[in-house]
Amino acid sequence: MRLKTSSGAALAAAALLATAACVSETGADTTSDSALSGAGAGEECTIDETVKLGAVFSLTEAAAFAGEYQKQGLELAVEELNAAGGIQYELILEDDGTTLDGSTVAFEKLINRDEVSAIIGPTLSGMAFSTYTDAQSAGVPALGVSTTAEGIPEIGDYIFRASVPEQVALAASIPAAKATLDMQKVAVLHDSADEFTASAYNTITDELRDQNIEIVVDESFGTTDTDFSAQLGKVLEEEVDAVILSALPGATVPLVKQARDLGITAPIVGGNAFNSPVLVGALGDAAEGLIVGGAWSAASETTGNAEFISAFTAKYDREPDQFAAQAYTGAYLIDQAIRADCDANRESIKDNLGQILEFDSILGPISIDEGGEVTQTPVVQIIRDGAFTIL
Amino acid sequence: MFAGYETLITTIALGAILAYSFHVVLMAGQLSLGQAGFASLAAYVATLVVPTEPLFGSLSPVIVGLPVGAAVGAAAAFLVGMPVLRLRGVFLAIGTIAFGEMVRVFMNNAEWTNGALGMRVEKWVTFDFAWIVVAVLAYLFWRLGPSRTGRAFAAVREDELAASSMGVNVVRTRMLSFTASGAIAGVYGVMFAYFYGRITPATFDFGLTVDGLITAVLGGYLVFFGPILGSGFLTAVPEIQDAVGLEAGWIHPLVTGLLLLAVILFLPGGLSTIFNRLRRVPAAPDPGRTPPDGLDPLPDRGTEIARLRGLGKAYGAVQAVRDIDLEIRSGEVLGVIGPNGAGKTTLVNMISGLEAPTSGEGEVLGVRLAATGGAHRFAQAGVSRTFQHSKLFDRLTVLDNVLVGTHAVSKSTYLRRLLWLPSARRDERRALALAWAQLERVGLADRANLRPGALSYGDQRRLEIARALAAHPTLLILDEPAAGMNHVEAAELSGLIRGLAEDGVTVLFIEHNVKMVLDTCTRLVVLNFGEVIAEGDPSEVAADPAVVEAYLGTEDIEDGEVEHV
Amino acid sequence: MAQQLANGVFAGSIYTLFAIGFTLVFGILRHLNLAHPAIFTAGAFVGIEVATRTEIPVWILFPVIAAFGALAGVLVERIAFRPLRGRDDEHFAGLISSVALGGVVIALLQARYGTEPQSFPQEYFPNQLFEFAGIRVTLTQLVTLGLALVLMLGLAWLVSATPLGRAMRAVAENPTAATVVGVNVGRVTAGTYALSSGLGAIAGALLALNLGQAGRELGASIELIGFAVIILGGLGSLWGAMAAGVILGLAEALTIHLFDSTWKSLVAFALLFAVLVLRPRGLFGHVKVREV
Repeated sequence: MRLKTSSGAALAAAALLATAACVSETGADTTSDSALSGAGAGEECTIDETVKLGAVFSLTEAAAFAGEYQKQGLELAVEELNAAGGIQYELILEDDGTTLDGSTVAFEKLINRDEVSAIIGPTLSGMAFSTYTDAQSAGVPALGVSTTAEGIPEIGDYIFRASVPEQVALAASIPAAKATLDMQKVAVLHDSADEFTASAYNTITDELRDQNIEIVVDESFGTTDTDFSAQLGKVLEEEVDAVILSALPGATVPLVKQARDLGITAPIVGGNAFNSPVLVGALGDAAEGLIVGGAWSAASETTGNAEFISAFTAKYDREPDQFAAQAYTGAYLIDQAIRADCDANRESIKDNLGQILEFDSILGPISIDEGGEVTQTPVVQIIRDGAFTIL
Repeated sequence: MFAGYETLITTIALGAILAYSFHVVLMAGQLSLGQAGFASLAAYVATLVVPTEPLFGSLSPVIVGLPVGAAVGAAAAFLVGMPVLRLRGVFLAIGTIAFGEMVRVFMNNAEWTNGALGMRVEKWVTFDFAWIVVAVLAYLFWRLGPSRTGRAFAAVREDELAASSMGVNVVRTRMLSFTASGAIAGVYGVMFAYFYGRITPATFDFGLTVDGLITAVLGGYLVFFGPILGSGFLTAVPEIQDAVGLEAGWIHPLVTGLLLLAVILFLPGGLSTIFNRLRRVPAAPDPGRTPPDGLDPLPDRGTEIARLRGLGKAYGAVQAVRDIDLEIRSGEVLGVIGPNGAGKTTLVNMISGLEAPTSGEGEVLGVRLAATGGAHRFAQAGVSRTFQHSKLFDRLTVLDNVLVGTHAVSKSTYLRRLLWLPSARRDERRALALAWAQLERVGLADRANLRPGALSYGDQRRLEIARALAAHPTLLILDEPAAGMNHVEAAELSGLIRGLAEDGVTVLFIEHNVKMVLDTCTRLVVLNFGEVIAEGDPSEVAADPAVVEAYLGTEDIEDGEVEHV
Repeated sequence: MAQQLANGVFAGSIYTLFAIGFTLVFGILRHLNLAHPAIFTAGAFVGIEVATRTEIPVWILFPVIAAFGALAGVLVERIAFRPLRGRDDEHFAGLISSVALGGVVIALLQARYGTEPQSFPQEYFPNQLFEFAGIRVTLTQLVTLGLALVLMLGLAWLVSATPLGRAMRAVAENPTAATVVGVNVGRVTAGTYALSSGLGAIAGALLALNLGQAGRELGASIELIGFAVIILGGLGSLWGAMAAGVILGLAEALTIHLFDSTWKSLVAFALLFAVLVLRPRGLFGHVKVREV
C-alpha cells in the first residue's frame, strides 16, 4: 500500500513538526472590572454597568425539546430581575444544536468574546463534561440547570449546578413508590444508548439493591427506537409490581403507550425526564398512575411557584415544565450570588455561588455547596386524573 | 492573532480532517461511508495508548495517538474493504454505513468503553496542533493530485474499465483510497477525542458521516484544499448568522440548509469551482525537444506476440466465440471484420483481458488469457486499446486523459513528489512529453485543455487512440475506430494506423468500414457466428465466397461503406 | 413467543411502508432521496395538525396526508434533483442536495410546530385491544397492517397494470429509450416522487399514531432501518421490500426474545452487512420494479 506507508511517514513528519505544538496551560483570567462591582448589598445592590449573562442551550436538533423551555424560563427570569432594578442583565443566548462542537464553540464565544460574568447551561451533561473544563480553565463560573449526570461539579471550583442529580431524584422516587405500591419485584427498562439514561440506570439498580427490591426483567433499547413491544413482551411474561423506566421523553411516550396497549397495568416509575406536562397531553389516560421523581412540580406550593406558572403561561401560551423552572431558578441563583457582595465579577460570583444557603426558590429551599453541588428536596409526584399530584 | 476564536477555528480544522477522509474516497469515485466506524475504533483504541502526561515535559501526548489511530483506521478499513469493495455506488454506501452502525452498537455494549456514558480524557489537542495535522494532510493531497497515483484515482472514478485497460490496477487503487480514508478517519477520531476531551459511542453516528460527506462534497474535489473550504464554509455560516443578528433556533438550520442547497445546485464541483481557475494550465513542451527516453524497444518485426488456441467464450447457453486459433505477429496490421454479433468485440475483450475465455487457451505478450487478475496486467505487458463506445474520462482534460495512458510505462511518482526528489519531476516531465507527443500525432495538441465533451465525435475517437498510444503499446487494439467519421477523417485515420505499423506497433482493429480495412490492414480475419470463416491476405479474403456469403443480403462488400451502428 | 412474532410483523409493516418510498425512487430513477425521512416526518406533523383542526375522520385524513406527501415529493424532485440532471456529479450532488432540503424541511417544521413533540388528539383514534389466541393486538396495529397491505397491493397493481406503471417500468429499464418511444420522462419522474412521498407521508402519520406522538427526529430514527430494508429486499424490488421489512421486524423481535435487547440494533445491520457481502442483489433482488 503505497499511500499507507507514505502517510505513515508523513505522520512521523507531523510528529516532528508538532514539537512546536506544545501543551500550554492557560491560566484563569482573574482580572476584575471595577465597573462590575457596585454599591450596597443584597436587595439594595446597584451596579452601573450591565451584567452580561451567557447561556448555552440546545435550541435545535435532538435536545431542543428541553432547550426551548430552558430558554423561555431563563428569559422570563431575566426580565423579572431587570424589572426589579438595581442590576441590569444582558442575556446572551447561544444554541449548541445538540452538538459537542456547537457547545464548545458557544462557550468560547461567551467566555472570550462576549466576556460574560457567568454561564448557564448547557442542556446536556455530555456536552458539559467537555465545555465545563473550558469554563474551569478560563475561570468563568458556570451553572448547570439540567446537567444531572454524576461528576459534573467535580470538574472544578468554577462549576456549579442547580439541577438535582438523577440519583437524588431516583433515590426519592423509588422509596416513595415502594411505600405506596409495596414494590417487591420490578422490571427495569432503560435506554442504553444515551448517557443520561444509562447513568440513571446505574443509579436505579443501586437504589433497588439498597431497597431490597428484586429486578425480574432488565431490558434496554436505543434512543431512536420506535417499537418496544418485544421488550414489553418480556415484562408481560412476569408478574411485576412496577416498571421502572429510564428514558428520554422521545421514547417515554411510545413506551408507556405501548405498555398500556399491551395490557401492562403495573405502575410505571420514572425520573427527571418524565417531569413534563407534554407527557400527560400526549399519553392521555395511559399517563394515569405514572410516578415521577423530579426537582419541581407545578403542584408544589413553594415561594413564587404559582406566580411563575401564571407568568410563564401568559408569556408563552403554554405551561412550564421542570426545565423551564430550573433555568428560571438558575438566573435567580446567579443574581443572588452577585448581590451577596454586590459584585458581578467572575471571581466574586464563583465565591458566592458556592455559599448559597437555603435560598427560597420555586424549587423549594435550595443550597449550593463549595463543591458546586446542589442540595434540594426532590418532589415525587403521581399523575392522577390527568394532573401531577405530589405523592 | 485569533484571540477569542481559537476553538472555533480549531473546529474548522477538525471538520476538514473528517472531510479529507471522504475526499480521498470521492477522488477515486467510491461512495464509502464507514468513516464514523473507523474514527470510533481509532479513538477508543487511542485512549488505551495515549499517555496521561505530556511527553518530554511539554510535547502533546496525542502524538502517540495519531499513528496508532491511523493504523487502527487503516487496518479496519482494509479488513472491511476486502468483502465490501466488491460493491459499488449506493450498495457500497449502505454496506459501509452498516459497518459504522455495527461499531457504534459494539462500543455501546462493550465494558472497557464504559458504554453510553463514554470516556473523558485530557484536552491535549491545541489550535496549532490541529492545524499542523491539516497542513500535513493538505500537503499530502497537494502532492497527490498531479502524480501518477492521483491520476489513477481520477481514472478509476471516471471509468473503471477504461482505467484498467490503461494499466491501472483498479482493485488496488480502490483499496488504496479506502485504506487511506480509514487512516484519515482514524486520525480524526483521535483528534476529536483529545480536542473535546470526551467520547461516547453516539459521537460517531450516522450524523457524523453525513456531516463529513457534506463537507467534502461542498468543498469539492477540484482542488486539494476543498475539505478546508467546505469546513470553513459550514463553520462560518452559523457565526455569520449570529453576527447579523439572526435569532438562534430554527432559522439557523434553515439558512444553512438553503445555502448548502444553493452551492450544490449552482456550483458543480462545490466551492472548489471558484478556485479551479487557479490551476496551472500545463504549457506545451518546446518543439525542439528530444523524444522521451527510456521506453522499451518494440519486439522485432515478425515476432509472435499473441497465440490463441481453440479459444471460446460462452455467456450461459450463448456461444459468443468458439474455437478460435490465431497468431498475431509483431508489426502487422490485423483487421477483424464480421457482421454484427459475430463475436469481434468479445474476441478483443479476451485478448485485452477484460473477459476471461470459457474454453481454450491463449497468451498475449506473455500473459495467459485464462488467468484472473484484471486487464491492467495486459496493459502493463503492452496491450492497449480503444472501445467501441468511447470510454473517455469525462471530467479530465484532453491532456489528462492522455496522461492516464502513460500509466503503464511510467513509475509511481507520489512518494518521491512528497520529498521533492528531482527524479520525480523528471518522470512527470517524461510522462507529459509522451502525452504531448501522442496529442500531436493525432492532431489534438491545440485542444489539450478542453474536456472531451467539448470535442467532436471524430476528435473523441482520436483522443481515445492518443490515450491508448501513450501507453507505448506493443499491441494496439482499436474497436471500430472509424465509426462516425467521414471519408476524409477515415482516410486520415488509415494513414495514422499505417504510420504506427511503420514505427513497429502491431495493430489489431475491428471495423465495419470494409474499404478502410482493406486499405489499411496487412492481414484480414473474418468472423461469423463466433467462428473464423476466413483469414489471410486482405484482397484474397475479400474475394472468398464464404465471406461474401456472410455479408450477403446486408451490404455489397466492394462498395465499402457499411453500416456504422 | 407468538406475541413476539406478531409484534415483529407490525413493526415490519411500518418499516416497509417507509422503505418502499426509497426503493421506488431508486429502482426507477436511480436517486437515493435522503429528503425522504423529512417528508415522512412532515407527513406525521401535517396529519396531526389536520386531525386537530378539522377533526375529519381517519379515512379522509389519510388521503389528505397522501396528497400533501405527493405534492411535497414533486417539490423535492423539482428542487433537489431536476437541476442536477445530466451533470457529471449527479449522484453525489443528489445525495447532498436532498440532505440539505431535508434539513430545510425539518427547520420549517420547528418553525411551525415548535420543539415539542406533537400528538393526535386523545380519542381521535379509538384505542381498542383485541385478543386472538392469546395474542394482544391494538386497533392501531391492525389498521397499520391493513393499510400497509392495501397500499402495497395498490402500488403493485399501479406499477404492473396502468399506463403510468408501464411508463415507470420503461424509464427504469432505459430512460433514453423510454423518451424515444414517447414516454414523458418528466411526468413519470414527478409521478414516481409523488407516489413514493405520498406513501412515506402516510407511513409517518401511521408511525405517529402507533407511537402516540411525533417528534422532528421521527424520520431520522427510521432512516437507517429503511436502508437495511431496501438492501435486504433488493433495491427496486417492491415485494422484496415488503418481505424484508417483515423479516427485519421479526428478526429484531426474536433477538430480544432469545438473546438480549442490548444487541437488538446490531441485528439489522449485521443482517444487512451479511446480505451485501454474500448476495449483493438482496434476498429478493431478482424481482425488480420493472418485473412486478
